[in-house]
Amino acid sequence: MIRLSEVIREEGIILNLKAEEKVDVIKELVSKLKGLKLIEDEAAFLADILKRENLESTGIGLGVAIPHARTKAARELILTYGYSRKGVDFNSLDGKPSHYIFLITAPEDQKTQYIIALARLSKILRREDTRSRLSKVSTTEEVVEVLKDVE
Amino acid sequence: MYKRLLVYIDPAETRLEELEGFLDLASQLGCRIIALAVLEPEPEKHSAKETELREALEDRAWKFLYEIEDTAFGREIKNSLMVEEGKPEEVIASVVKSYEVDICATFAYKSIDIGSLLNRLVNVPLLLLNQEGQ
Repeated sequence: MIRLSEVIREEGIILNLKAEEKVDVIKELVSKLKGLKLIEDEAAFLADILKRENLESTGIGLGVAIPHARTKAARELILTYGYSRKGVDFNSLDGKPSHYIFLITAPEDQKTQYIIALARLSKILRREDTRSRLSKVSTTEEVVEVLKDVE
Repeated sequence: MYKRLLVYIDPAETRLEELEGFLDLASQLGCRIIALAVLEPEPEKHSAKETELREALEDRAWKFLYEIEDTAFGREIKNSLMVEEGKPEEVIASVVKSYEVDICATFAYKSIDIGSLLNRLVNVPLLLLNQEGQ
């Protein structure tokens, strides 16, 4: 069984996203993953995420966005997180800005794991308690601890 | 003519292979698909078993929605996903109004009162598909 707290890349977490536009936020998150040897081709990786973003609103409401993609450029299932205090427009159906931004990618052939991770993450982020705790963390370790507690 | 198709799915009564019909419909209409699952509101008092069952259902709902999304993406169909709580007919009517939905589609699930839903949908057609997606 996938545990998000084990999949998330603590080194990739950004507790204070600087970017204010959706595309720039995704770029900021991807940039932080550099050097972790998880990505085959950074340009292709980014292009695949943005392609999806153009067709769908990955903002699921309640201040949550989960940009995601299955891509040949990912070497394994990757999960990272960024928090934006100001909020970013991810075209959520509820029209509200997204503060809790989780990026999930997986290799093309890992569809099942990818869907499970997306579903689990969406479920736990619908809970007000999870979001409230994430808004108060001050270290990347605490983000992992929150996920460990709620999943 | 149609810009937004709302598809209501009941994760307790749906199988993955049945969902393709909704995507065919969205593709034929050339519109965005809004896939919606509705959960019963969480009761104030509930047993551990009830919580476990509810969480399993929510998990299943999201998996269905992301399966729809993944297939929709492959077919270049615009889509949005929603999980809400409440009575299905009320939530569907509310989403239709809030998000300017043009057309609704669903299966004739046991969980939904079709008569009540029709009364709530004003000027928005409702397509009832059978489990084969026809």
